[in-house]
Amino acid sequence: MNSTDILSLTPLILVASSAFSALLLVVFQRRHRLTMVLTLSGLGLALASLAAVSGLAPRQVTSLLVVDAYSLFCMGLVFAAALAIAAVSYSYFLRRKERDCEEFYALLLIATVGAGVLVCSGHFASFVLGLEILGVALYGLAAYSRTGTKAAEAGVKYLAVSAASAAFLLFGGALVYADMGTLEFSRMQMLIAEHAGMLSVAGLAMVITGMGFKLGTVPFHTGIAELCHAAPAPVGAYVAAVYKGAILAFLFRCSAQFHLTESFPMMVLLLVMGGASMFAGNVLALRGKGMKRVLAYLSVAQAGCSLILCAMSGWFGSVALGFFFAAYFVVTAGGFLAVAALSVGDRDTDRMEDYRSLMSREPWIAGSLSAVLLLMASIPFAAAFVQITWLIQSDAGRLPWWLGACMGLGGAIGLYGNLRLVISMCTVPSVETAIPELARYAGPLEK
Amino acid sequence: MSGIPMEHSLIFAGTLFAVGLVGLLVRRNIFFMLMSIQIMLNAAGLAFVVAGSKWHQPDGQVMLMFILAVVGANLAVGLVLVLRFRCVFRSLDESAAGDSQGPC
Repeated sequence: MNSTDILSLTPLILVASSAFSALLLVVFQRRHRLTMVLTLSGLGLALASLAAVSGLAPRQVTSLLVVDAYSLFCMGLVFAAALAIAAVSYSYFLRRKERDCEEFYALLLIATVGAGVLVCSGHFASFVLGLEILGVALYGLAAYSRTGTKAAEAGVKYLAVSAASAAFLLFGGALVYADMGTLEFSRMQMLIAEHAGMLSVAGLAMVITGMGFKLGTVPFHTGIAELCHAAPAPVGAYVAAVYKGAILAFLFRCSAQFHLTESFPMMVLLLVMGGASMFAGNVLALRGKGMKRVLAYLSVAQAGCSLILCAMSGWFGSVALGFFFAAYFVVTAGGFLAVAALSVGDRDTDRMEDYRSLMSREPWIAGSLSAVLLLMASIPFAAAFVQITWLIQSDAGRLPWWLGACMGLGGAIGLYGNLRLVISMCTVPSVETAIPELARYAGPLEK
Repeated sequence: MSGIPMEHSLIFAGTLFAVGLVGLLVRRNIFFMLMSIQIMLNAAGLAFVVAGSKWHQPDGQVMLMFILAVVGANLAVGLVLVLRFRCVFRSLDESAAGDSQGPC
């Protein structure tokens, strides 16, 4: 490892050192605004350094990390999302009158380092370390709020799901290693092409199960929905966008660069999981109680859509991939950030009634939430379009027909649900809803 | 590894993993859930060591070190959460936190 290698890791080093400075600052002085400024400037510097580092890419830094255009792009998305979330959580905590919220930023930065390592990883060890740095910091973030009982419950439930999925991932990795004799993804690719024994197939299935737990795809979707529902809204945004986004980015790299998902059973597994989550996520979002739950289920559907894209990513151009990723981060973080921006007092603005005719009260937030929901509904159709072009260009025999049907159906349900939400936000308050309000004001007058 | 075939050790690690998984699914006490998770993670560590000794590489043992670090971090944060849970709900039973269960 020489100085150029260290230079190419500058963005990660900057975020890590701002995490430590934030922690050190808390030791001496509890100042919310100063910690926030430190966080934002650290993330901003890291974003700026990405442009400087791009001259050194592509570069393999030891066998653990790969710094190339793709990982720099994903790191940019991760840092930008973390920046937006940190900025929104500042006003969120001020409005909630939460005390001692400085460590929140330190945890956020540590989790962001984990996400950065995850999107760069080219070796099983760095993948596990990145994922666990991200995951363990998220336990703290999920259980951060000390008012109410929800936070403790969210932390414990998430701990069980996340640690169990880490165990699945690790055991699967061990089985693959026993079969292949290497932990580097690029060498695994060659060996899998030559021979894949039963151990490797079992191991990869366990790895995919662990990934499914972490991503919250069907049949493991309840865990992530619980977490997003119970955690504070900015943490929901972080889980839905950065956490799941970084794992998806890693999966995309595995499938596009290392061709680990090209074998037929793996592809079918990904497609089935993706199609089922898209369908189930959109259906559950239709009957979900509470805005955060609806958004969590919609993010499950988005992750499903991305898994389908991931399975076919061998064909994708980098521009299409970049577009889908950027859209994923914007729509998943945007919804939760709108909830965070609306929340006042002890609890998050979570009830669906709070969003009825929101446009007349908070035009800016309602407008951006509507834009996010519409963009979210349009992504599956764009993906289906890409898929159809793919089917036309290649021999269509390998992909099952029900996948297109599932995507179309899931997309249609999603469009219906999201349009219903947008319309309910845009309606003018009706007489029926206005009457209880009037009665509330009239009550004191009558006395 | 002279004497013990790799398959036997892997079966042992797999059994250990299954014991942990069953414990996680069956027990409702958070403390025992944490212990089951530790068993699962340690089973993964054992499988890495077995695989490393098959290929005569140090990688398996290095992964075990990483796993031990992960286990330690999980346990530290997990125990803090257990204390917090106990403080809020006056119980270590996970089902004590009732209201937000169910699919919707």
